[in-house]
Amino acid sequence: MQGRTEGDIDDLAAVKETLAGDRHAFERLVVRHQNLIFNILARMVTEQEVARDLTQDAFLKAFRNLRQFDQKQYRAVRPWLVKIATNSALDYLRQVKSTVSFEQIMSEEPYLEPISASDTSIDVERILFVEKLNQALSLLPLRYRQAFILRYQYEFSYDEIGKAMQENENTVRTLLFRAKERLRKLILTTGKADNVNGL
Amino acid sequence: MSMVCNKIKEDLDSLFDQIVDTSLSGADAASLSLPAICQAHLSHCQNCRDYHSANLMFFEAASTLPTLAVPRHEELTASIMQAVMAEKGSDNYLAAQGAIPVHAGASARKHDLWLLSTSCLAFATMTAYGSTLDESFCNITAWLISLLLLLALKPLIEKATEKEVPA
Repeated sequence: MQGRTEGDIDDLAAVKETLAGDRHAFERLVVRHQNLIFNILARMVTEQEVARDLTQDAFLKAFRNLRQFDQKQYRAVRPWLVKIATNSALDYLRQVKSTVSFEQIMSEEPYLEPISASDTSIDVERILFVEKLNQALSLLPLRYRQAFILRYQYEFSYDEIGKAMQENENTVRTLLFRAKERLRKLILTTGKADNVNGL
Repeated sequence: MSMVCNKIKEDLDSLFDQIVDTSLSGADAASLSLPAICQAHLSHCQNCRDYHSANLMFFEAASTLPTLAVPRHEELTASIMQAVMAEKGSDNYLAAQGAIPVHAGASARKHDLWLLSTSCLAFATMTAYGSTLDESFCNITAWLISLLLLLALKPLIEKATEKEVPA
């Protein structure tokens, strides 16, 4: 994922065209990335309508700060957009009045209750595992969840995740390692492994 | 857990990273060969074998995690673009950020012309006024005073002409 894809190249062209005054070029960035940004935000804030509003907010911020996009630093627009979106979500989570404090959301051990065990039929093993993983992810601390999703669902490189999360690569590796450990524990505690003995 | 296990897990992690980075899955992923030393270790270490299969399982499951469809995605695109278009009016906003030169092309030439003509007019007026003091149009003192006054007022003239010329 180190090389630039066609999408990456067109993203950079769209940035250039927008800065030259063609605002319609910005629409290419929106169309290409709104789904990714929305999904990442939905994982962070859980409410879809909020995620939708934050998606709009993130793109508007991106437009306003387009001149600050450093091509040498980011190489591609995608991690930069994810960084902006993440910051929007964190701002939102800081503001929102919740029974769970922001520190708790960001902490390493916000919840520890296991996911409920369910059917262990061999035929649905894989589907169930995905479902359990999905549930377990929602119980992970925000940073772990974000790192895991970016790496394994969207296949970002370590470098891209680092840029998006404003962390260095070693921290990203640590976050991923801990995320996997936590997921393993969460899934394992459900039904004494359910064919996920390896976890 | 032994030191050997730790080393093997590091190797397994790099292999796993290779799988993720090349977007391989299923049989393709399995085809990536483990170093002989890893294979030998896995054949007798249940713990590392479990670790490896867990990694693969996470990868496969993560890539099939449900993605949400953006509700009313076309509306969202339109709404974002509407906000972008409305942002601080036309392209003056980007221009203010330095993306577009304010006085480009014809506008710049018009601006220069304004500046030159205003300066000439001011210079001529001041020289004419100075020369009336001793009724000699070639009075060198009047010319020098005019020139100094013009230099001192240059920033003000520039500011005034910028206001008059639309960007």
